[in-house]
Amino acid sequence: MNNLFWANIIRLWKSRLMGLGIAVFAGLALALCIDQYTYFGEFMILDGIFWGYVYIAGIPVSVLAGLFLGVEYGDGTIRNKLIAGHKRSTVYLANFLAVFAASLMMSLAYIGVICAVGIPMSGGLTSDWQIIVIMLFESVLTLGAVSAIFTMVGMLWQNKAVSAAVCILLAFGLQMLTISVHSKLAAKEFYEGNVYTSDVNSDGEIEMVSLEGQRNPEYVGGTKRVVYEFIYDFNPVSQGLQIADMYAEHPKHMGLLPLYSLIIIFGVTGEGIWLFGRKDLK
Amino acid sequence: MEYVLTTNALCKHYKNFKALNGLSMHVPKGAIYGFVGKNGAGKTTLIRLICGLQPATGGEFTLYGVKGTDREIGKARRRMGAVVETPSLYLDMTARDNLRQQYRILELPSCEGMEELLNLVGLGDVGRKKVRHFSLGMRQRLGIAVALAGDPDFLVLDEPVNGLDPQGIIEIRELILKLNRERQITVLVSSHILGELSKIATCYGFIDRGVLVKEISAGELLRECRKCLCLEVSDTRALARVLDGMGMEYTVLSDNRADIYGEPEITALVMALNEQGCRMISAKEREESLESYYMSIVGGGENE
Amino acid sequence: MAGLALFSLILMAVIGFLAGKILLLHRAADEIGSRLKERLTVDTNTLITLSSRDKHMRRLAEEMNSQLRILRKEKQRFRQGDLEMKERITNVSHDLRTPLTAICGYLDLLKEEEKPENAQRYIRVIAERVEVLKQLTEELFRYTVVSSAGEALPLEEINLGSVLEESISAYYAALTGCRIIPEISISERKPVRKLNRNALLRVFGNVIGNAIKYSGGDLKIELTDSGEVIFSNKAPGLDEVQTSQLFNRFYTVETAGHSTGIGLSIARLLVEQMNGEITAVYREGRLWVRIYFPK
Repeated sequence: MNNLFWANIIRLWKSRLMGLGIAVFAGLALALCIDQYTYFGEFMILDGIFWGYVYIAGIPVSVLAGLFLGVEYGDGTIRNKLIAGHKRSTVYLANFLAVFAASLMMSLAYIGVICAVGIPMSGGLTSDWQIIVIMLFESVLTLGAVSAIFTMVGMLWQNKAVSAAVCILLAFGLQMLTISVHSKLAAKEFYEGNVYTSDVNSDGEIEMVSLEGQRNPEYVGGTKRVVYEFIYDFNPVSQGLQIADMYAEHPKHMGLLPLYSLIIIFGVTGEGIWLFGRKDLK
Repeated sequence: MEYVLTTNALCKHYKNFKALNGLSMHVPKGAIYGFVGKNGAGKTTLIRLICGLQPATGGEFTLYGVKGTDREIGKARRRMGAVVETPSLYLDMTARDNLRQQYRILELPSCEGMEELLNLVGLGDVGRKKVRHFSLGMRQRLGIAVALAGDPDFLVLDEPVNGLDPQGIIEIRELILKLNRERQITVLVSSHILGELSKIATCYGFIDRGVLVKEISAGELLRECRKCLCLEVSDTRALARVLDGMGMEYTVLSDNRADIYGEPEITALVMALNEQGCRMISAKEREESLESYYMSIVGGGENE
Repeated sequence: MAGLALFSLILMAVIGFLAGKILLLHRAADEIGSRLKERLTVDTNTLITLSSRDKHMRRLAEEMNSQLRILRKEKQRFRQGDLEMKERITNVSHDLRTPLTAICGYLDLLKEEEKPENAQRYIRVIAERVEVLKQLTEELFRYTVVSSAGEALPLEEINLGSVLEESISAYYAALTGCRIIPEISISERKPVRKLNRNALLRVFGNVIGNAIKYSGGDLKIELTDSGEVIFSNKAPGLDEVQTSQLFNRFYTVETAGHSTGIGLSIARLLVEQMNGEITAVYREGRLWVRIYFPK
């Protein structure tokens, strides 16, 4: 598998897909830095944009996986690997690890630029280093989950165009899901209670009126909320958003999100290997 | 007799179609096995099965003594190279990069021998051209080079001369013979062009509708092909009388020419003709062509 | 405190990395070893492959591969040379047949002619020698056919005893002509083996023929219960060294007159093609030839 993995990496590099991805991520990092700086100057908070790579990873990784794996079917070269005697599971894993490695490389490019450009601008990250380590660890797992999903899509469709399309659609789908669930969950339970001075009333006095907080009809409660929260936590793109938004204080980050990511990684990859093992190839 | 590949009642059913229906074949070591059948008979399906591209739905096969369902089949496959249908090449890479990829996939420790390989298939001067811009003949040749990258003992070629010009066909044929003679490589060649196969095959497997109808060595085939004696005589009517008397099967082609199916004793025939006042001008022996032999064991089914 | 934790973490990581690397190197070394062994025992074109990417291991494997390549080339060259030699021998023996046939034909004519006593004697001698020449070319030709046999011998269940008896009776006239009365003992059990009838006849024939040429006057033939066939005869002109070379391709035992050595090599080839074994031993002034086919 070692050799298969390296063969994949070298091909990724030669096909300039990886180079392109790295350029995109680096460029984005630069753009975000500059954007933040123009708004906040020295007082920009680097932590806000530091974790951006996890959130935006979805679409580039899906494109990369779709194209990279699609070529193997389109050109028929996946047959060479099987005829050479490699097991189906080995071929699948080598592909998954290559996609995963690509996503990590692109993220490293992003982080590299952020640090190189952002630290001089802002003076550094403000969070504790323990939190940074934990979040890094989680972001890796989230990237793994994203890679696993798109590797499976890419490996199970023999048509290069179809798999690329499905990958992108799935990426966008997850993105939309994230946004919609996020807005649903963001609705607060109560409108804030207000105290304000009213106009002159009938007695000719100025009163302090206090309105109690009212129930927000948009609020999602009860079991529905639990379901939504689960989707929000399970969807790797949403996880990316959570990390990016720095919900680091949330205890969920300690156990739940990484657990979900691991479940996705092993579950999806296992399922993918099983299905791939049974597939009829031309 | 050592067999490189044996299949035993191999079956492959698709949703509503039986591609292979109990195929049993034996490829002897060192042979050039001509796998003959019309389009759709199941040739490519069988090759896909032994290459591990598709699982069988019934029966089994053995490659170098290892069962197809065994865990060690990967090791046995390491000894084979194959070109299935179209060559498996990365279109956006050069020929050398494709070979380097193959060396990596095969886990070979170096790319030693790559130039020699390219020269062997006639692609030594291809430079840095991308495979996308190769002609069909060049792609076929690179496909064979990729299949040979691991120094295989068993080469499987699925319709290798499909779409090639006559020059290319000759070159591929010469290459196969060379590989078989010099490197002791067993070759399985599938084709529906019998003429080409008959020039190189040492044994044949005739497949029709997913079953191996006949498996025969080149020598046996030669003996089984009906021999025909083409005679030129002064009077075929006399000849016909004589042959009827001898109980031989024949066809009269003209006043002077006739074909006799069978091997009459020449002296007896000439003496009998002489008695009838008929002279024999010339006699040539001809073999039934491979095509007609193939049709005789397979073609009948077409009319069913 | 935190610094210490960090330090120990890094230390553990380094140790883990080194341990992993050592394990991988072990595995790579084992792989190379087993693959090399395979390549030397199985007749294959493939070379050593390894899953590790360690530069040093790869270089080692590549060194071995270049040696394997040389070995492979030598094997191929030998095969080519062997094939060519066999072809040449076949061609020569073919070419010899034509003039030999003509000679025989004219000799026959000559025999019919009126001629003086001396001429008759000379013609007899010439005829005998020509007969020997014919046999030699026949043996030569058959040797190349047998040793390059591509198609396997068809096998069937054969009663060793009956085939042995058939061979003996075929040569009985020749034996008695040399005043050799064979002592025959054939096992009651009638051992049966899966063999090729014609090949077996030839094997027995060649051994008996050899005994006729070199025997010191007797011939003992025995078929044991366990399926061994043992030929033994007095062999005054033989010694241990010559016996060990008896089956050697072109080794002939020089005697006063006839010297043909290939018959036994053909016998050995055929015996081995039928998965049997044939050995010759010289003991107490006697030559013992033992043929054995396992069940």
